[in-house]
Amino acid sequence: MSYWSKRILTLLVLAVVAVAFTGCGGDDNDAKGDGKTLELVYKAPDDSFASWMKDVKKQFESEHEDVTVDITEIQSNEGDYPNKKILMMKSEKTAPDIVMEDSYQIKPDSAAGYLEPITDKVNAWSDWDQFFEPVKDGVTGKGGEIYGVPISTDVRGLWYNKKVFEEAGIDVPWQPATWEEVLDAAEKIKNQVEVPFWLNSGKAMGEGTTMQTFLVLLNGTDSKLYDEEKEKWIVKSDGFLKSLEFIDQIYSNDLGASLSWGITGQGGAKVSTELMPAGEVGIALDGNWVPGNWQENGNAPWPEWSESIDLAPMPTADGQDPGHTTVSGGWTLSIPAKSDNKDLAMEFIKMATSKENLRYGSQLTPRKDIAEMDEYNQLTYQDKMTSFLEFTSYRPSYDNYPAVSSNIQSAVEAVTTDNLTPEEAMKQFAKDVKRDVGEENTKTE
Amino acid sequence: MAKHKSINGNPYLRALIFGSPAIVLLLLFVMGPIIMTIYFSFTNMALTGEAANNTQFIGFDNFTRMFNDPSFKTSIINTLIFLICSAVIGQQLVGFLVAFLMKKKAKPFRSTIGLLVLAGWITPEIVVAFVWFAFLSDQGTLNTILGFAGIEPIAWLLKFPLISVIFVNIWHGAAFSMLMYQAALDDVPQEVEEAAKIDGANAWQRLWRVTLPIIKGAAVTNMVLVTLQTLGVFTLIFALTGGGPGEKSTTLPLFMYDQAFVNYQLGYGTAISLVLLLIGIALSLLYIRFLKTDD
Repeated sequence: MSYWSKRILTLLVLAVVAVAFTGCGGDDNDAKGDGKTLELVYKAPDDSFASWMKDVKKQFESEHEDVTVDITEIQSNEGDYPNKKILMMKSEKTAPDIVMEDSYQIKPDSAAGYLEPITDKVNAWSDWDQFFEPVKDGVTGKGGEIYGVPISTDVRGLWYNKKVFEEAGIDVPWQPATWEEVLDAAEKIKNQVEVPFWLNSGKAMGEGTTMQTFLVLLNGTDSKLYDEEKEKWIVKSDGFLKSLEFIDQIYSNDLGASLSWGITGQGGAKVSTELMPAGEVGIALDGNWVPGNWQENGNAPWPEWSESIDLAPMPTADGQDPGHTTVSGGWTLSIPAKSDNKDLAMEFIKMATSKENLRYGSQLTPRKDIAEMDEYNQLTYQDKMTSFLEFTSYRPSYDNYPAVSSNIQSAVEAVTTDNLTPEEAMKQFAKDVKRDVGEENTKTE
Repeated sequence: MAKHKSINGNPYLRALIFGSPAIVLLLLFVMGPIIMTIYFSFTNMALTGEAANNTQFIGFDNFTRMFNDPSFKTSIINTLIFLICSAVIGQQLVGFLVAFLMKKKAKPFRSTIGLLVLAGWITPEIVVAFVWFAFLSDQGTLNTILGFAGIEPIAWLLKFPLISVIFVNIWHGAAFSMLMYQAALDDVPQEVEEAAKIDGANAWQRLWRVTLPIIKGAAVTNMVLVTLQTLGVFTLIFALTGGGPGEKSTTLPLFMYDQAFVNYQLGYGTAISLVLLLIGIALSLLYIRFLKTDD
C-alpha cells in the first residue's frame, strides 16, 4: 500500500468513527424544554387521525402564538407500536408531550410510571361529565387515577340476518333476553345457512377470541376475570365455566363454522367479506367495525347491507342486570410522565377532544353530546352501537394480562375443537395461569 | 527516544497497545451485553407494568418457569429439528455436493452455477422470506404449477410450516457451505488423489478415505459457523410463518421475541436468550473437541 493510500484510509476511518460518535449523541436541537414545542406522537398510518390533528394544531397555534405543535407519526403495526412508544417515553430526552395510547395499555403503562395522572386536571374540566361513565373506566389506571382522555371506543354485539330470521319465523327486530334464546334462534336457522352462529374461537385470532367472544360472555355472567380489590386473577368461576359451555353448545350442536377454516386466522375475513354478504351467516358475535367492510371503499362493498343485517346487543346469561353485555377498547390521548409541557399538553388535549373538534373518522365517540348529534347518527346503527356504551366494560389489562389472555384463547380453542370438555379446559386454564403468573396472584371464586 | 525503545523491547506491551482499540471495543460491545444479559435474566425486568417501575432480582424464577413451560419445550424441539435438518444436514450436504460436483468442471459452468447458488445467499433474509412467501402461498407460484398437473393447491406454510422454513433456509444458506467446501477441495493435493487412484481406489473410496479426511478441518469450522448462524435465524421464520400456525414453527429466537416484546417480559426473554447462547457455546465446543480428538 502506498504512503498516500494509507493516509487516506486513516482519514476515512477517523471520519467514520467521528460520524458514529456524533450520531450516538443524538440531535438535541429541537428546542425542547423551553416550553415552546409540543410534541405529539401517534400510530401511523391513520389518515383520519392525521387530518383531525392538523386542524387542531392550526387552531392551537393561532391561540398560543409562541407554541409550535410537532406531530410525529410512528409507522408501525398494532403489535410493535407499544414497544416503540414505551422506548420514547422511558427517557427525558425523547419523551413526547402527548401520546396516542391504546386504552388497554393504560393500566400497565401507568403502573410502570410512564404516564402522568391527570385526575385533577379532568375533574376541573367541565366537559369531562360529557364522557360516558364506563368509558372512563377504560382510562383508569394505577391508584384509581385517570391517565388519559378517550378519543374513540368500540363495542361488540350480535349482527344478525333479518331475512334469514323472517324465513325461519323469528320476529324481527330480534332482541334475545338470555343465552338460551340466542341458542334457540341459531337452532331454528340451522338448515338455512352455512354458519348459523359465528364467533372468534381460535388461537389464531389472538386477542379477537379473548375480547370479541370470551370476555363478552364472561361479562354477561356474575363472575369476573380479575379481583381488583385483592389484585388476583380469578382462574375458576361459575361464569368462566358457563362461558365455555356456551361455546361448547355452539360447536357440539353444529351451530358454528366449519373448523377447517373457522379457527384459522382467515376465518373472520371470510365471514365478513364473503359469507355475510352471501346471506350464509345467521348471527355473528363481532365488533362494530364489521359493516366497515361493506362501505364503498371497504374490502367487500355491499351498499344495501342494512336491508339484510341488523344489530342486537348480546344478552346476559340469564337476563340478569343490566340485561346486556359487551366489551370495549379504544384509543386515548395521554401525557407521558417525562413530558416537560404537561399543562400545555392538557390544554391541547382538551381542545382536541371538545364537542366541536372531536371528529375521529367513523369511530364510536366517547362523548354523550356528540352521540346525540344528527351529523354523527347519519351512519347506520351508529346510535344503537353508541347506546351499548351505557353497559360496556373494559379489559382487566393489568400486568400479566397478555399471558392470561393467551391461555383464554387456548381454553376456547380446546373447547371449540372438542379436545377438552369445558370443565377440563377450565382446569387446564387454572393450571397454566398459575404457572405463568404465579399461584400467589390467582384465586378461585 | 526511551519510550520508543520500551515499546519495541516488550512484545507483550506492544501487543497490548496495538490490540487495545480492538480489546476495548470487544469488551464494550460484546462482553458488556453478555454480562448484562446474564444479570437481567435473573430479574423480573419488564417493558411495561409494575415490574418496569420496580425491577427486582428474582433468583432462578425465570429458569424454573422456563423449564415448566410447555411452549419452551416445543420451541427447543423445533429449534433442534430446524438446526439439524437445515444446518447440519441440509446446508452442509447441499453445499458439499454442489462444490464437489463442480470440481474440475469447465470455468463457465462453475461460475454460472456458483453465481446462481450465491444469489440465494447474498439476498437479504427479509427479501428471501417475501420471495418464498410468494412462491409457497395459497395462490403462489408452486400451487399454480401444481395446478397444471391437476393437483389441488396446498397451503404449504400452514400445513408444513417447519419443513417450509427448513427448506427455505437451506436454499438461503447453502452457498456459504459451498464456498467453504470449494476452497477446501481446491486445497486437496492432486498427487494424493492420483496416488490413491493408482493404488486401485474407486471414486467412492477416494472420496471417503482420502478427500474427506483431508477437508475435515474445514468441515468442522463450517459446521460451527453454520450452526451458529442457523441458531439465530429470526427474520426468515418471523416473516414466513410468524412461528405459527400455533407454535408449529416457533424456534427459540421467536419464542424469545414473543416473551420479551409481545408479552413484555424482558427478564424472561433475556433468560431464554441466555439459554440460546449456552446452546451455541455447547455445540461449538462439541465440534471443536471432535476435531481435536481425531487429529
